[in-house]
Amino acid sequence: MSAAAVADFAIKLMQGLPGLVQAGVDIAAHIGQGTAMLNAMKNEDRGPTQAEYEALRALNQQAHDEFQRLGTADPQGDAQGGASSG
Amino acid sequence: MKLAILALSAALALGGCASPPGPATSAPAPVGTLPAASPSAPAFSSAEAGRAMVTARIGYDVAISAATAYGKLPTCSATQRAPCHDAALLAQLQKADRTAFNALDAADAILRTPALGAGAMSSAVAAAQAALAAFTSLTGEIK
Repeated sequence: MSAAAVADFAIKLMQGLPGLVQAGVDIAAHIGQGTAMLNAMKNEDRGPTQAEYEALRALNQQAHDEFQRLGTADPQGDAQGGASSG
Repeated sequence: MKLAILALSAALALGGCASPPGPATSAPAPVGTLPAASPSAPAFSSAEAGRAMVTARIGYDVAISAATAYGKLPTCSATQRAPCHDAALLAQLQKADRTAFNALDAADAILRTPALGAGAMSSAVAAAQAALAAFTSLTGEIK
């Protein structure tokens, strides 16, 4: 499940639109995919490969950048790092 | 929003099971030495720590997705009622996001320097998980 699909799910939740049950299944699948990935790594007694981890980090980076561009975020950033950190 | 919060809790619960990183499963690289560039090579010398970081990043993905959906709603005002986002809460979420995101990257860097020792690695993972928990907790303020 893509980040966009998760976002769509959250919007539907907040707007109280129909289809919440199906959306709930979708996000459960999203969590399930992560669990499956972790279980596979554990069963194989290994951690993530460079490719697996970089793909996950790239997804985080993309979502982080998009979120930081929203609304009226403090353009000066803060002590934890700038708005475009990462 | 409750389902989303439950899902976030579930994602974090996965990370909560992660114990401190065990000993390195391969020979540690000297400080300052970059890991092998091969895509199929392990991302981290400690498999357990690597799995903890994967868990944290999956949790982050779910949390940031919910927060982004909230931030894309129109700004609340006298004429704009729910569904809308509170500008002050969005700013708080963005600040917490920066902290969590930076903590994840900081943990990455420490885990890729095995010579720093298991204690530093464990602390870095714990710090990243704590920052992520703070961010996720803040998403609970979304009404």
